[in-house]
Amino acid sequence: MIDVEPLIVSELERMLPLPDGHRADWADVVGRARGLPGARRDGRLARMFPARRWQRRLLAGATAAAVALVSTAFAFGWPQSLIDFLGATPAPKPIKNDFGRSNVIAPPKMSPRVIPGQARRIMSATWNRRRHVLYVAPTRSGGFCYVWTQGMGSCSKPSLLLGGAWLGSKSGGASVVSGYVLAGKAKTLQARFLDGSTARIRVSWVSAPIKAGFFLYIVPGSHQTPKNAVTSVVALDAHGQVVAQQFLPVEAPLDRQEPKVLPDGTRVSLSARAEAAKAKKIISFRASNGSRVWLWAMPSRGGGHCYVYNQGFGCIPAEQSKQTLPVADGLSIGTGRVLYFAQTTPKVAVVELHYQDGSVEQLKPREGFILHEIGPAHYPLGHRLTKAVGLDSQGHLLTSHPFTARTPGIYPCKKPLDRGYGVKSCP
Amino acid sequence: MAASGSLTGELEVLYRERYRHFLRVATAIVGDEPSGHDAVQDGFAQALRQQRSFRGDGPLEAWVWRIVVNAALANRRGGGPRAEVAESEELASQNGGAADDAGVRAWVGALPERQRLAVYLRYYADLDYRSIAHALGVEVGTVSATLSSAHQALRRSLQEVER
Repeated sequence: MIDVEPLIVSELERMLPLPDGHRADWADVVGRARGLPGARRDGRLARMFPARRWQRRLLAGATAAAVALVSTAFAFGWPQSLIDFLGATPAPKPIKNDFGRSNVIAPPKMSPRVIPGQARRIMSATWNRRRHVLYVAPTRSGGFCYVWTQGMGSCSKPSLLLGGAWLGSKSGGASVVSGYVLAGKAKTLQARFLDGSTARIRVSWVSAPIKAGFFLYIVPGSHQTPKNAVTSVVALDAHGQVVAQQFLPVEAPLDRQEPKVLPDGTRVSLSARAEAAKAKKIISFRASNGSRVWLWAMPSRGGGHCYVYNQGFGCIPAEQSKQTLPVADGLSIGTGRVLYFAQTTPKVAVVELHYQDGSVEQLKPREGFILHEIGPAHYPLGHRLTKAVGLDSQGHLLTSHPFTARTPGIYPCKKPLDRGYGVKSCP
Repeated sequence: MAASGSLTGELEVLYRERYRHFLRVATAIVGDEPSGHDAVQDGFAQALRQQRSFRGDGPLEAWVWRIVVNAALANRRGGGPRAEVAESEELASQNGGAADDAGVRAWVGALPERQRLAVYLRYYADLDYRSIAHALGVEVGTVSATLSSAHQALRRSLQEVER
């Protein structure tokens, strides 16, 4: 069944974005209620009130709004400045479209339900010699999504008091950490380093309907190395007790991604632990659209193995290789073809792909890998992959798991649907 | 919510907090923002005048929505509130028919009026089903069925395009 709600939300938003409130005028309402002459229909403020009286009302209104905002800040116990969300500058159209796209490209039932028309500019910061701006938009579920231009972004989760994202540095530690903290128990934020030191992180609090604080912490160069990197961001309550914690991984140099060259001269991006010079071509064939499909496997420094194929790569440490599921698989899409990729344990003799139309394909792993093209005959609904089954050499079932046939954007089609915000995808 | 005493303060807070949403729904109904603004102003003015008639059997906001929606309908029709939404129970019985175009705009345009109002209140005003029910004067189940059949109409139109 098609989940039409995200489409409705995004299209209605496009048809009629939330208007600004410049026409709002409570005095006019009161005037109309009292039946004042000139208050109805074309009841512009200038007609209702002499200029000075209008100015006084405006001033009084602004003062009341400011008092309300300060009161709100105290009510939340917010120690720092509060940004009035509804009074903040609306986001430009490209940013609103970006938020809108996140609704329509999300997998079924995972749409953030963000309201693009309400996105606001919150603050800006400079890192890597570039100016970045934070935009925030509320969601229909009461949360919010945020994005730093040319940077990190995410959406809040009600169960997560503190959420964060980070950019790695060349030396392994995080170089920039950003995120949010929900208003409530948390009063301050702190960065904690591997060497035991800490640093306070400044928070910019944003009023309703966001009701959260946002932070961006540019990690000092001295704390960007694996020995004294940031290991976590913690939220502290008024008594200094930790109420939430976001751990940051310190990336070992071997886990970093770097350019490598395979024995046939193909340039790829791989984990630093992959021994590309020892790579062996396991699978190679031509797809139905004429493109070449290949998979190489190679040893990994420190044990285990690595692999790389046209549309992905990975490394499996030795200790994890023993615990792998019988069949760890997925569909890989792009460039007009659909590939089924799987890693299998030695027990798996055959993997069967079952389709909606009742047809079955039997695939034999090669050195623990399967890379297979799902042909164009299986693109239309009614013919798509529904299940992968792993069998041992005796034909006994080892594993079976389903594939969702109706996930949009997986299978190519002739007429992609316009899902709004410039997103076109096949059903 | 108090059903007696002055509601002026609460109405003013509601107006200040939700004016833009009221304006959006009213604009969607009447077709242009200045007229939508007039409908909101008239609706709130009416709410101020008739606040004693608020019985407190539902949220104040839903009661105001009902008045503003009626004001917008009256504004669009250029007459008095002849077609009060409160009296109708026909919502769920109308399926809306599949839109003749895949676009949501066409779908909205093809919906029967009361289904369209339910869609506006759900997606433009972000009201829950209970509040929509109060605002339209129908049962919660009727709202659920209404939105469900509206969704179904859009789903059908999308599936027709897929084929």
